[in-house]
Amino acid sequence: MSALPRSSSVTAWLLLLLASAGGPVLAQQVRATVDRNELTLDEQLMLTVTVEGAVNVVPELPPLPDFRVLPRGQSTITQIVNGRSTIAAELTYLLIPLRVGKFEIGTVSAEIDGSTYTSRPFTVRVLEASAEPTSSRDAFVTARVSKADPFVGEQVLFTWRFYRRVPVANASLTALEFGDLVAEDLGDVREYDTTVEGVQYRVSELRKALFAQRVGKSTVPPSELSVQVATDAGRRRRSVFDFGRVPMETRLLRSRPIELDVKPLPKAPPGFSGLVGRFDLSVEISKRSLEVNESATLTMRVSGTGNVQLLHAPELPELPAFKVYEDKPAGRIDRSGLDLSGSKTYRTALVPLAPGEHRIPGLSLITFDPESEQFRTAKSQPIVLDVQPGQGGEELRLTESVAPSSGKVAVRILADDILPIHRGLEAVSSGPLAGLRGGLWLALGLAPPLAFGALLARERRRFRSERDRALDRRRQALRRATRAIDGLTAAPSEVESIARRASLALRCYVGDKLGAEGSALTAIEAESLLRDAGVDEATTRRVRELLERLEAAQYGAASARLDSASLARSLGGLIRDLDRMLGNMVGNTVGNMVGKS
Amino acid sequence: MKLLTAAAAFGLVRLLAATPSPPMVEDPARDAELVEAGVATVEEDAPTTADLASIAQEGLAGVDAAELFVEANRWYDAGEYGKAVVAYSTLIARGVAGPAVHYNLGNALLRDGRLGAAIAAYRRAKVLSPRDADLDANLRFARASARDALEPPAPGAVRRTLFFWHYSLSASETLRLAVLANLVLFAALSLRLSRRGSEPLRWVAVIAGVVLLALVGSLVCRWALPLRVAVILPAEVEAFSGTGADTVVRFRLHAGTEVRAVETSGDWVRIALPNGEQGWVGSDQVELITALR
Repeated sequence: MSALPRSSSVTAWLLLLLASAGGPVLAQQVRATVDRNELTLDEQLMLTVTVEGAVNVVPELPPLPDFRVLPRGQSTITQIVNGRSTIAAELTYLLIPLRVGKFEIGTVSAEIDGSTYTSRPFTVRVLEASAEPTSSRDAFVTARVSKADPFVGEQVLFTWRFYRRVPVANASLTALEFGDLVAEDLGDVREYDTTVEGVQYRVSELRKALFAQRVGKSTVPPSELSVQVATDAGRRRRSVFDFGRVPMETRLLRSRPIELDVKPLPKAPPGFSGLVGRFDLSVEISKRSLEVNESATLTMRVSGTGNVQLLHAPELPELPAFKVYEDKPAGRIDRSGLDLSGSKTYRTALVPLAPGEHRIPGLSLITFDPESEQFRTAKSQPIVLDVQPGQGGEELRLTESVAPSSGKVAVRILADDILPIHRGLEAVSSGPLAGLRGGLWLALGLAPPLAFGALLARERRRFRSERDRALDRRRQALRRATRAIDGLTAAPSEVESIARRASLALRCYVGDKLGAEGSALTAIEAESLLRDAGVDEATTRRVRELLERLEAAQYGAASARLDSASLARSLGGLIRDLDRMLGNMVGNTVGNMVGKS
Repeated sequence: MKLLTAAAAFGLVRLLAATPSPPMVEDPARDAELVEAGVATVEEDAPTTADLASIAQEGLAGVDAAELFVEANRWYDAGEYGKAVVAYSTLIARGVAGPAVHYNLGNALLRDGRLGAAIAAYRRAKVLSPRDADLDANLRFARASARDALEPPAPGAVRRTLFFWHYSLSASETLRLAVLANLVLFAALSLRLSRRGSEPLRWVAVIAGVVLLALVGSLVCRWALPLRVAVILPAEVEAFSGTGADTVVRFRLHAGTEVRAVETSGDWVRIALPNGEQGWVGSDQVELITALR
């Protein structure tokens, strides 16, 4: 028989090889076997399930409430007997008994090719762990306590040891649990050799200091150590030709649970510190003679063995003659010894306020000694200080002596709270305008657009008014010009006067029609305005020439040849021609000119 | 002072008979445990701040607002937080209270052990005075005492940055600035009627118009799109699947938790958790406040 690796390629190669030799005989069968039928609580069973005729089958184990089941691997087996080959899957499980008794390992079933095959049930017997002498075991663990009936708060030394006399590997200890007991470490794992019943063992030792917090029964649960131990075959003397690894098997070693019966403390005297163990108190003063406002450091040191986590300063009595400055205590816990010990030092600066002889009463510390089962009171001697009148201010040296480094420290927020209330009377508004605020803001909001609207309306009115005036002038232009022309012939006049009035009539007509000041227009300006208004070139030239003639008649010799009747006719004809041309064009021009102004 | 004392006597005697006397510091976990153990009941019957104020109105009707404010502060300093709560609530009910009164009311309620009402008062104060650092600190402190690990409904950081003026100005400040921008805008437009083509005036008008638009938009959002927040008042509240105590209890909330109020229906308020889960709680178990969306 040989165990083959699970590699599918190797399996396939072997199956091919077997097939070429006539093919394996696939006789289906399920077998369950154990390596022993009787064992103790601190031993394990190796359950082997063999499924013949199949390789990729997961058998179903029966319910095993009295064991912890740990799978340990699977292998494929091929056998050739008398030319016939068989194939099987072998699965192994580690069964760890949980209690003493006789237990049935039920049927293991597996489904192969649609059919269910089962193994035969069998019985195993689990004995007490003490049924076998310790010296006959290769590896085991123990757990002990120094006292099974401690007082509440008393230190109990817990020792866990792992003994072995064979090679071991891959030891793994589950975290030690102590139920409702408080556990403190006592150093690292220690290794040493020892002899038990004449047999030499290698020992690994762990120690803890346990403190019971309540009266009554307390249990230290069992610990479990998973470790690989060399088998008998591995421990046999090996020849120089033996190569490879030493055969190992995995074991789960368990310690026994430990029961503690925790006793209450006797009735405590007033002022009991809560410390259980052996503790001492020492009190010292840095100087006994000093001046007013000079400081002396009172050092109180509590040390001992026991529940040192509860170490605290002895209560200092009221010292009205001193200013008292307490400093941060300095503590030390020693875990290297056989049990837990420690000390805590409290420093207090005392600054005398008045000269004279000041007495600091003796301090006391009441503890409970579990060995003598009595309360002890450690007392210090009273201290007398001789204080002389001082000369300078207060000289406090506590910080210098306790914390020589002058580095800055981070500010720690001690507590949080809400910020205070607001007190300004502006918080309440009760003035006469309080009720009008909404309306006031509305009015302030509406006033600017309303004012702007009013301005805009006024501007528009002005624009319209100017435009209307321009229109009126345009409409009246022809009539006014005609009236002026009629006036030229109505009464005999001087030539200069006729020329001046005729020129003014023409210029005013052009000005009224085109929105300009007619009386101020020159001949060239009138021609330019008419041209811009769309009047043809010939008519504008006629206007300019006539105006130039009239101007010459006013100031030059040509006046003698000016006939008022013919002038009136030609002027009337020219204005009518202009009026005809400007009739449709000038309306828009007037509007534009008003807008520009 | 005599007037105040005499006037307050009538209202406060009635009031203190109705005021519960909760512990100085609220411990929601302990309260819940007591409720579960049947030792205590939730504060469902506790009168609300509005109730207290209405009771006190009769006694404090003739007291000047400033005098009442000073007296309320004195009560607060003396540790008579119940009286201080009533006085501050009266000022608020009269409509003469600024953000500082809401803030002080929050302090008094918090000291009085009414976490939910305190948070509601702080949030009202924050709407009126959004940049008050003291208020932020106290609101943070109060929220740290709330038991439920729920973030209060609030706009995201991006929105707060983009619309900074909306979240950093109060409604009255926004209104004042809008009026000012309005004035500048129309002044510039009016001047341009007589100075056509003035470029500086044109730019002043454009900038003032943009500012006015942003501020008016902020005011419209406050009015048209308010975020309704429900602050849980009792130590523990059950949120039901419908408007009835006989429906399924969907979840439980505790005092001081702020959730979004979706709608109200009769005596019930539909609330929504940040993850979208919704439930109905009694309207007397929450204080509804309006916040910025």
